[in-house]
Amino acid sequence: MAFQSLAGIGLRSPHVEEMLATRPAVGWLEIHAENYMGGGPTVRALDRLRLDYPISVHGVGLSLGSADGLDAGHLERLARLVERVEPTLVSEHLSWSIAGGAYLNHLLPLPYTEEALAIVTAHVARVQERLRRRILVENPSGYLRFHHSMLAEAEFLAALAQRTGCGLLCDVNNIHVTCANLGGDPDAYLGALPAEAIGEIHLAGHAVNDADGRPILIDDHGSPVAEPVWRLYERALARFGARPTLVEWDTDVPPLPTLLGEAARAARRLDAAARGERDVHAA
Amino acid sequence: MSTLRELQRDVRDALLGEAEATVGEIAGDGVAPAARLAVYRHHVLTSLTAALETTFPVVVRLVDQRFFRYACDGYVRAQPPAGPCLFEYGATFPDFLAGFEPCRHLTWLPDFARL
Repeated sequence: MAFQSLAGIGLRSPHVEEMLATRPAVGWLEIHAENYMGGGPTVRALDRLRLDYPISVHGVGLSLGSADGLDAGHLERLARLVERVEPTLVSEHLSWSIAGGAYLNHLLPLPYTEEALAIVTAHVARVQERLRRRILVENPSGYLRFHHSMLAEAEFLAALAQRTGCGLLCDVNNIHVTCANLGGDPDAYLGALPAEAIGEIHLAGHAVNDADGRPILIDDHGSPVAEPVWRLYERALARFGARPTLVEWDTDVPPLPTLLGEAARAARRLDAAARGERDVHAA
Repeated sequence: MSTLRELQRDVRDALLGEAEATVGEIAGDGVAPAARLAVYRHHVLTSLTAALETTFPVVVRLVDQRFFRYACDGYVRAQPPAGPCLFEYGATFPDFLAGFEPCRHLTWLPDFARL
């Protein structure tokens, strides 16, 4: 089956032994790059799994939006990991995590201004040049916006893809969360993304918390994908066509079969989308 | 309007600062800007505390869980990580504990942290 219509799971440490022992049927695996930069048994396990599954390397620490510049040492570590793993996909985030020498371990929001676009564009171009490949850039989950943002997030991503040739990783749960928290229309967001640039889709669960007496959705990856997010995913597939889709689960990680079940739900929708595309071609 | 570099320094300082700290450029949209920033601060502090729990399992076993989190809160705010590989974070945590007033009397604790 074409990689475009395969569903994968985020590989998490509690599942590694079972994955090695049982090699379940799942389309591909995604790893968090930073967890594999220290060597040791985790990397050796990955060396074995990658013989059986396509791998996606998903960075969380490159801080593409830092005005202080890219951490050259971290980019080198990422490049060495990519050389070793030979992944099918490489992705990072539209966010920043480093300021004034402090790494804050969060995907922090940018103001969507020309200044920020110029900075992220230069950083994505440098990463693609060093890795000698196209990367995908993911939309973050948002809990605040800045007064001086001039562009909508989807417009910013579209401009970034146009200027750098990068692809986009469309996190459908993040669109749902961000639009709920900041008052946007998820379908307008999907509509503003360039379909041809979408190289991967993410799905995950979210929590509902309270902020200042109002509900706020938290992208905690700690539960099954919510029903409104499945419906938004179906509309994303209708707009983009089949795209490799990942289910992430990071908090209260469930037994492996639960996660595989979520990937199977995505796979059924991908099959339907791929069939639809073939029918259109045949007609 | 501040440059992106200035804005990011301000957000960093507010995230590592007090609960009501905020930044003027944040839009409220019906929720206090400080409450919006607090969502991010909560993740910064809890995720970095979790990283220190993984690196210092002996300290976690020796002290009360609430005290460990309190010490981590102080450490993260004073000495946040310099880079994204969190398995490298915490080299100065034993020295921080040695100088941390609430556990001064636990003179043996920093040595266990160095194990």
